Amino acid sequence: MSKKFSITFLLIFLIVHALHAAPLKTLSLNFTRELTENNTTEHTAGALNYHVKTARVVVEVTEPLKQIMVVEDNILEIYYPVEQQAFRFISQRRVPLPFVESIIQSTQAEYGLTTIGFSLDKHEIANNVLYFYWTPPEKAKDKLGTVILGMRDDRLVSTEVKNPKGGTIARSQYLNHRKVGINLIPMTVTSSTYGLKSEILQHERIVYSNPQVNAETPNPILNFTIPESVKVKVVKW
Amino acid sequence: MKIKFKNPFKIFALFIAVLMFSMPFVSLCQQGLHVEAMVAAERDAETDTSQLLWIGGTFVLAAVGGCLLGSVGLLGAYIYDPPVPSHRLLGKSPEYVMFYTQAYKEKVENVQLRSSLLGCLGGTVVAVIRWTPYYSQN
Repeated sequence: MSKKFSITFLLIFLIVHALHAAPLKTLSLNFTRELTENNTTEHTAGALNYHVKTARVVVEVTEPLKQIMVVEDNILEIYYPVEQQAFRFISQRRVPLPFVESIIQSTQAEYGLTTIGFSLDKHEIANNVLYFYWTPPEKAKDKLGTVILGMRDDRLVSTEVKNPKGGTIARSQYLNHRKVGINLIPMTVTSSTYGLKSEILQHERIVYSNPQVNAETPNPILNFTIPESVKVKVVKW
Repeated sequence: MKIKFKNPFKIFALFIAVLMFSMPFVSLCQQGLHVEAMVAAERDAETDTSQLLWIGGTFVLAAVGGCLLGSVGLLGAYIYDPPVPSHRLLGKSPEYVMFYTQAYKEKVENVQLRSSLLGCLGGTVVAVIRWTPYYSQN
Protein backbone atom coordinates (compact mmCIF):
# COMPACT_ATOMS: atom_id res chain seq x y z
CA MET A 1 0.00 0.00 0.00
CA SER A 2 1.35 3.39 -0.91
CA LYS A 3 2.42 5.43 2.07
CA LYS A 4 2.52 8.71 0.18
CA PHE A 5 -0.94 8.03 -1.21
CA SER A 6 -2.26 7.67 2.31
CA ILE A 7 -0.56 10.86 3.46
CA THR A 8 -1.80 12.74 0.40
CA PHE A 9 -5.30 11.43 1.08
CA LEU A 10 -5.15 12.80 4.60
CA LEU A 11 -3.56 16.08 3.56
CA ILE A 12 -6.12 16.83 0.85
CA PHE A 13 -8.96 16.63 3.35
CA LEU A 14 -7.03 18.57 5.95
CA ILE A 15 -6.07 21.42 3.67
CA VAL A 16 -9.61 21.86 2.40
CA HIS A 17 -10.80 22.27 5.96
CA ALA A 18 -7.84 24.39 6.93
CA LEU A 19 -8.28 26.82 4.05
CA HIS A 20 -11.79 27.63 5.17
CA ALA A 21 -11.05 27.85 8.87
CA ALA A 22 -7.72 29.67 8.84
CA PRO A 23 -7.73 33.38 9.77
CA LEU A 24 -4.74 33.85 7.49
CA LYS A 25 -4.96 36.07 4.42
CA THR A 26 -1.38 36.08 3.24
CA LEU A 27 1.73 34.38 4.51
CA SER A 28 5.34 34.92 3.53
CA LEU A 29 8.32 33.02 4.87
CA ASN A 30 11.91 32.40 3.97
CA PHE A 31 12.94 28.76 4.08
CA THR A 32 15.83 26.38 3.87
CA ARG A 33 15.18 22.73 3.19
CA GLU A 34 17.40 19.71 3.63
CA LEU A 35 16.11 16.58 2.00
CA THR A 36 17.97 13.35 2.68
CA GLU A 37 17.15 10.35 0.55
CA ASN A 38 19.28 7.42 -0.53
CA ASN A 39 22.29 8.77 1.41
CA THR A 40 22.29 12.06 -0.47
CA THR A 41 21.24 15.41 0.95
CA GLU A 42 19.86 18.22 -1.15
CA HIS A 43 19.78 21.82 0.06
CA THR A 44 17.18 24.24 -1.18
CA ALA A 45 16.60 27.82 -0.07
CA GLY A 46 14.12 30.49 -1.01
CA ALA A 47 10.93 32.26 -0.04
CA LEU A 48 7.38 31.01 0.22
CA ASN A 49 4.42 33.28 -0.47
CA TYR A 50 0.88 32.14 0.07
CA HIS A 51 -2.42 33.86 -0.66
CA VAL A 52 -5.23 32.06 1.15
CA LYS A 53 -8.27 33.38 -0.73
CA THR A 54 -6.97 32.33 -4.12
CA ALA A 55 -5.09 29.32 -2.69
CA ARG A 56 -2.11 30.53 -4.70
CA VAL A 57 1.43 29.66 -3.67
CA VAL A 58 4.50 31.29 -5.17
CA VAL A 59 7.82 29.73 -4.19
CA GLU A 60 10.89 31.69 -5.14
CA VAL A 61 13.92 29.40 -5.03
CA THR A 62 17.32 31.06 -4.75
CA GLU A 63 19.49 27.99 -4.11
CA PRO A 64 20.72 25.76 -5.71
CA LEU A 65 19.36 27.66 -8.72
CA LYS A 66 16.95 30.49 -9.51
CA GLN A 67 13.44 29.17 -9.95
CA ILE A 68 9.93 30.50 -9.44
CA MET A 69 7.17 27.98 -8.85
CA VAL A 70 3.53 29.05 -8.95
CA VAL A 71 0.79 26.68 -7.82
CA GLU A 72 -2.86 27.59 -8.17
CA ASP A 73 -5.72 25.13 -8.32
CA ASN A 74 -4.85 22.58 -11.03
CA ILE A 75 -2.02 24.53 -12.64
CA LEU A 76 1.65 24.38 -11.79
CA GLU A 77 4.02 26.82 -13.45
CA ILE A 78 7.79 26.70 -13.15
CA TYR A 79 9.88 29.59 -14.44
CA TYR A 80 13.67 29.81 -14.75
CA PRO A 81 14.68 33.49 -14.96
CA VAL A 82 18.31 32.74 -15.83
CA GLU A 83 17.66 30.11 -18.47
CA GLN A 84 14.53 31.94 -19.68
CA GLN A 85 12.59 28.69 -19.75
CA ALA A 86 9.18 27.83 -18.35
CA PHE A 87 6.80 24.93 -17.85
CA ARG A 88 3.06 24.94 -17.36
CA PHE A 89 1.55 21.70 -16.07
CA ILE A 90 -2.21 21.52 -16.45
CA SER A 91 -3.41 18.78 -14.16
CA GLN A 92 -6.78 17.01 -13.99
CA ARG A 93 -6.96 17.78 -10.29
CA ARG A 94 -5.69 20.24 -7.70
CA VAL A 95 -1.91 20.41 -7.42
CA PRO A 96 -0.69 20.00 -3.80
CA LEU A 97 0.61 23.27 -2.35
CA PRO A 98 4.28 22.85 -1.46
CA PHE A 99 5.15 23.56 2.22
CA VAL A 100 1.79 25.19 2.96
CA GLU A 101 -0.04 22.08 4.08
CA SER A 102 2.18 21.39 7.06
CA ILE A 103 2.20 25.03 8.19
CA ILE A 104 -1.55 25.50 7.96
CA GLN A 105 -2.29 22.20 9.65
CA SER A 106 -0.09 23.06 12.59
CA THR A 107 -2.17 26.18 13.27
CA GLN A 108 -5.46 24.26 13.33
CA ALA A 109 -7.05 22.92 16.49
CA GLU A 110 -7.34 19.14 16.26
CA TYR A 111 -5.96 19.40 12.74
CA GLY A 112 -9.57 19.51 11.55
CA LEU A 113 -9.72 15.76 12.03
CA THR A 114 -13.26 15.78 13.49
CA THR A 115 -14.61 17.53 10.42
CA ILE A 116 -13.29 14.84 8.09
CA GLY A 117 -14.76 12.01 10.14
CA PHE A 118 -11.93 11.07 12.51
CA SER A 119 -12.96 10.20 16.05
CA LEU A 120 -10.94 10.70 19.20
CA ASP A 121 -10.10 7.28 20.57
CA LYS A 122 -8.03 8.07 23.65
CA HIS A 123 -5.44 10.41 25.08
CA GLU A 124 -2.44 10.06 27.36
CA ILE A 125 0.34 12.19 28.80
CA ALA A 126 3.99 11.29 28.44
CA ASN A 127 6.99 13.55 29.02
CA ASN A 128 4.77 16.62 29.40
CA VAL A 129 3.25 15.99 25.98
CA LEU A 130 -0.46 15.31 25.65
CA TYR A 131 -1.03 12.70 22.95
CA PHE A 132 -4.37 12.36 21.17
CA TYR A 133 -5.14 9.14 19.30
CA TRP A 134 -7.49 9.62 16.36
CA THR A 135 -9.22 6.78 14.54
CA PRO A 136 -9.93 7.29 10.82
CA PRO A 137 -13.45 7.07 9.35
CA GLU A 138 -14.57 3.66 8.02
CA LYS A 139 -14.06 4.63 4.39
CA ALA A 140 -10.39 5.45 5.02
CA LYS A 141 -9.57 2.52 7.29
CA ASP A 142 -8.13 0.40 4.47
CA LYS A 143 -5.51 3.08 3.79
CA LEU A 144 -4.94 4.78 7.13
CA GLY A 145 -4.44 3.74 10.71
CA THR A 146 -4.34 5.86 13.84
CA VAL A 147 -3.19 9.45 13.67
CA ILE A 148 -1.42 10.60 16.84
CA LEU A 149 -1.15 14.30 17.63
CA GLY A 150 1.21 15.53 20.33
CA MET A 151 0.35 18.84 22.06
CA ARG A 152 2.40 20.84 24.52
CA ASP A 153 1.40 24.28 25.87
CA ASP A 154 -1.54 24.36 23.45
CA ARG A 155 0.66 23.96 20.43
CA LEU A 156 1.08 21.04 18.11
CA VAL A 157 4.54 19.54 18.52
CA SER A 158 4.28 16.21 16.71
CA THR A 159 2.18 14.12 14.37
CA GLU A 160 2.43 10.46 13.57
CA VAL A 161 0.46 8.65 10.88
CA LYS A 162 0.16 4.89 11.11
CA ASN A 163 -0.92 2.34 8.53
CA PRO A 164 -3.89 0.02 9.17
CA LYS A 165 -1.50 -2.61 10.60
CA GLY A 166 -0.09 -0.17 13.16
CA GLY A 167 3.25 0.52 11.49
CA THR A 168 4.43 4.11 11.25
CA ILE A 169 4.09 5.67 7.80
CA ALA A 170 5.24 9.17 8.63
CA ARG A 171 6.31 11.19 11.62
CA SER A 172 6.68 14.97 11.88
CA GLN A 173 7.94 17.30 14.56
CA TYR A 174 7.05 20.96 14.88
CA LEU A 175 9.59 23.02 16.78
CA ASN A 176 10.46 26.63 17.65
CA HIS A 177 6.94 28.01 17.44
CA ARG A 178 6.65 31.72 16.92
CA LYS A 179 3.58 33.86 17.42
CA VAL A 180 2.86 35.53 14.12
CA GLY A 181 -0.37 37.53 14.25
CA ILE A 182 -2.81 35.24 16.00
CA ASN A 183 -1.11 32.09 14.73
CA LEU A 184 1.60 30.00 16.30
CA ILE A 185 3.78 28.95 13.42
CA PRO A 186 6.46 26.27 13.84
CA MET A 187 9.71 27.64 12.47
CA THR A 188 11.30 24.19 12.19
CA VAL A 189 9.52 21.19 10.75
CA THR A 190 11.17 17.80 10.46
CA SER A 191 9.45 14.90 8.73
CA SER A 192 10.40 11.32 8.07
CA THR A 193 8.66 8.70 5.99
CA TYR A 194 9.16 5.05 6.81
CA GLY A 195 9.26 1.80 4.84
CA LEU A 196 7.68 -1.54 5.67
CA LYS A 197 10.63 -2.53 7.87
CA SER A 198 10.47 0.82 9.71
CA GLU A 199 13.51 2.03 7.79
CA ILE A 200 13.64 5.76 7.03
CA LEU A 201 12.93 6.32 3.35
CA GLN A 202 13.18 10.07 3.38
CA HIS A 203 14.03 12.73 5.92
CA GLU A 204 13.22 16.37 5.46
CA ARG A 205 14.12 19.34 7.62
CA ILE A 206 12.65 22.73 6.84
CA VAL A 207 13.66 25.85 8.74
CA TYR A 208 11.52 28.95 8.26
CA SER A 209 12.50 32.51 9.01
CA ASN A 210 11.24 36.08 8.63
CA PRO A 211 7.54 35.18 8.82
CA GLN A 212 5.01 37.78 7.73
CA VAL A 213 1.29 37.22 8.08
CA ASN A 214 -1.44 39.37 6.49
CA ALA A 215 1.05 41.99 5.39
CA GLU A 216 -0.61 45.32 4.50
CA THR A 217 1.20 45.35 1.20
CA PRO A 218 1.50 41.74 0.10
CA ASN A 219 4.66 40.74 -1.69
CA PRO A 220 4.21 41.64 -5.39
CA ILE A 221 5.60 38.22 -6.31
CA LEU A 222 2.19 36.81 -5.33
CA ASN A 223 0.94 38.24 -8.63
CA PHE A 224 3.85 36.85 -10.60
CA THR A 225 3.20 35.75 -14.17
CA ILE A 226 5.65 34.31 -16.62
CA PRO A 227 6.94 37.04 -18.98
CA GLU A 228 5.28 36.90 -22.39
CA SER A 229 8.67 36.81 -24.10
CA VAL A 230 9.39 33.38 -22.58
CA LYS A 231 8.25 30.33 -24.50
CA VAL A 232 6.27 28.09 -22.14
CA LYS A 233 6.31 24.32 -22.50
CA VAL A 234 2.76 23.23 -21.76
CA VAL A 235 2.31 19.74 -20.34
CA LYS A 236 -1.19 18.27 -20.05
CA TRP A 237 -1.07 16.09 -16.96
CA MET B 1 54.63 30.92 -20.03
CA LYS B 2 52.61 33.53 -21.82
CA ILE B 3 50.88 32.56 -25.03
CA LYS B 4 50.10 35.32 -27.44
CA PHE B 5 47.42 34.88 -30.04
CA LYS B 6 47.87 37.55 -32.58
CA ASN B 7 46.69 35.45 -35.48
CA PRO B 8 42.86 35.39 -35.67
CA PHE B 9 43.05 31.96 -37.27
CA LYS B 10 44.79 30.53 -34.16
CA ILE B 11 42.12 32.00 -31.93
CA PHE B 12 39.44 30.50 -34.12
CA ALA B 13 41.20 27.10 -34.14
CA LEU B 14 41.49 27.14 -30.35
CA PHE B 15 37.82 28.04 -30.03
CA ILE B 16 36.82 25.14 -32.30
CA ALA B 17 39.08 22.74 -30.37
CA VAL B 18 37.56 23.74 -27.03
CA LEU B 19 34.10 23.40 -28.49
CA MET B 20 34.83 19.95 -29.93
CA PHE B 21 36.27 18.59 -26.71
CA SER B 22 33.60 20.09 -24.46
CA MET B 23 30.66 18.72 -26.45
CA PRO B 24 31.03 15.09 -25.30
CA PHE B 25 31.28 16.24 -21.69
CA VAL B 26 28.10 18.27 -21.98
CA SER B 27 26.39 15.28 -23.54
CA LEU B 28 27.73 13.03 -20.77
CA CYS B 29 26.38 15.40 -18.09
CA GLN B 30 22.99 15.45 -19.80
CA GLN B 31 22.93 11.66 -19.86
CA GLY B 32 23.83 11.52 -16.17
CA LEU B 33 21.03 13.93 -15.35
CA HIS B 34 18.61 11.97 -17.50
CA VAL B 35 19.45 8.74 -15.67
CA GLU B 36 19.24 10.43 -12.25
CA ALA B 37 15.84 11.97 -13.03
CA MET B 38 14.53 8.74 -14.51
CA VAL B 39 15.62 6.61 -11.55
CA ALA B 40 14.06 9.07 -9.08
CA ALA B 41 10.86 9.36 -11.12
CA GLU B 42 10.41 5.61 -11.41
CA ARG B 43 11.04 5.10 -7.71
CA ASP B 44 8.59 7.86 -6.75
CA ALA B 45 5.97 6.61 -9.18
CA GLU B 46 6.17 3.12 -7.66
CA THR B 47 5.77 4.59 -4.16
CA ASP B 48 2.96 6.97 -5.09
CA THR B 49 0.84 4.44 -6.97
CA SER B 50 -1.38 2.23 -4.89
CA GLN B 51 -0.91 -1.07 -6.70
CA LEU B 52 -3.16 -2.96 -4.28
CA LEU B 53 -5.97 -0.52 -4.93
CA TRP B 54 -5.71 -0.97 -8.71
CA ILE B 55 -5.41 -4.77 -8.49
CA GLY B 56 -8.27 -5.01 -5.97
CA GLY B 57 -10.58 -2.58 -7.75
CA THR B 58 -10.20 -4.20 -11.17
CA PHE B 59 -10.38 -7.68 -9.63
CA VAL B 60 -13.76 -6.91 -8.06
CA LEU B 61 -15.08 -5.37 -11.29
CA ALA B 62 -13.92 -8.32 -13.39
CA ALA B 63 -15.16 -10.89 -10.86
CA VAL B 64 -18.61 -9.33 -10.95
CA GLY B 65 -18.90 -8.47 -14.63
CA GLY B 66 -16.14 -10.43 -16.37
CA CYS B 67 -14.00 -8.80 -19.06
CA LEU B 68 -16.59 -6.13 -19.77
CA LEU B 69 -16.48 -4.52 -16.32
CA GLY B 70 -12.80 -5.41 -15.94
CA SER B 71 -12.02 -3.32 -18.99
CA VAL B 72 -13.61 -0.33 -17.26
CA GLY B 73 -10.90 -0.69 -14.60
CA LEU B 74 -8.26 -0.90 -17.30
CA LEU B 75 -9.61 2.23 -18.93
CA GLY B 76 -9.54 4.01 -15.56
CA ALA B 77 -5.90 2.99 -15.10
CA TYR B 78 -5.10 4.44 -18.50
CA ILE B 79 -6.95 7.72 -17.91
CA TYR B 80 -6.17 8.45 -14.25
CA ASP B 81 -3.07 10.48 -13.44
CA PRO B 82 -1.97 11.35 -9.90
CA PRO B 83 -1.34 15.04 -9.07
CA VAL B 84 1.88 16.65 -10.31
CA PRO B 85 4.47 16.06 -7.55
CA SER B 86 5.33 19.78 -7.29
CA HIS B 87 7.45 19.48 -4.14
CA ARG B 88 9.83 17.11 -5.92
CA LEU B 89 10.55 19.68 -8.62
CA LEU B 90 11.66 22.43 -6.22
CA GLY B 91 15.20 23.55 -6.92
CA LYS B 92 15.56 21.26 -9.92
CA SER B 93 16.92 22.32 -13.29
CA PRO B 94 14.67 22.60 -16.38
CA GLU B 95 16.30 19.51 -17.88
CA TYR B 96 15.68 17.51 -14.72
CA VAL B 97 12.05 18.68 -14.57
CA MET B 98 11.53 17.63 -18.18
CA PHE B 99 13.11 14.18 -17.79
CA TYR B 100 11.53 13.56 -14.38
CA THR B 101 7.95 14.44 -15.27
CA GLN B 102 8.08 12.46 -18.50
CA ALA B 103 9.44 9.36 -16.77
CA TYR B 104 7.11 9.76 -13.78
CA LYS B 105 3.97 9.96 -15.91
CA GLU B 106 5.01 6.97 -18.01
CA LYS B 107 5.87 4.87 -14.99
CA VAL B 108 2.62 5.69 -13.17
CA GLU B 109 0.60 4.69 -16.24
CA ASN B 110 2.69 1.56 -16.56
CA VAL B 111 2.24 0.51 -12.92
CA GLN B 112 -1.49 1.28 -12.97
CA LEU B 113 -2.05 -0.64 -16.20
CA ARG B 114 0.05 -3.59 -15.02
CA SER B 115 -1.79 -3.74 -11.69
CA SER B 116 -5.26 -3.41 -13.18
CA LEU B 117 -4.42 -5.99 -15.86
CA LEU B 118 -3.43 -8.42 -13.09
CA GLY B 119 -6.65 -7.68 -11.22
CA CYS B 120 -8.69 -8.01 -14.42
CA LEU B 121 -7.17 -11.37 -15.30
CA GLY B 122 -7.68 -12.70 -11.78
CA GLY B 123 -11.23 -11.40 -11.63
CA THR B 124 -12.07 -12.87 -15.03
CA VAL B 125 -10.77 -16.29 -13.93
CA VAL B 126 -12.98 -16.07 -10.83
CA ALA B 127 -15.95 -15.03 -12.98
CA VAL B 128 -15.38 -17.95 -15.38
CA ILE B 129 -15.10 -20.48 -12.51
CA ARG B 130 -18.21 -19.04 -10.90
CA TRP B 131 -20.45 -18.91 -13.95
CA THR B 132 -19.32 -21.98 -15.95
CA PRO B 133 -21.35 -24.53 -13.88
CA TYR B 134 -24.41 -22.26 -14.14
CA TYR B 135 -24.23 -22.03 -17.91
CA SER B 136 -23.30 -25.71 -18.39
CA GLN B 137 -26.45 -26.71 -16.40
CA ASN B 138 -28.67 -24.53 -18.54
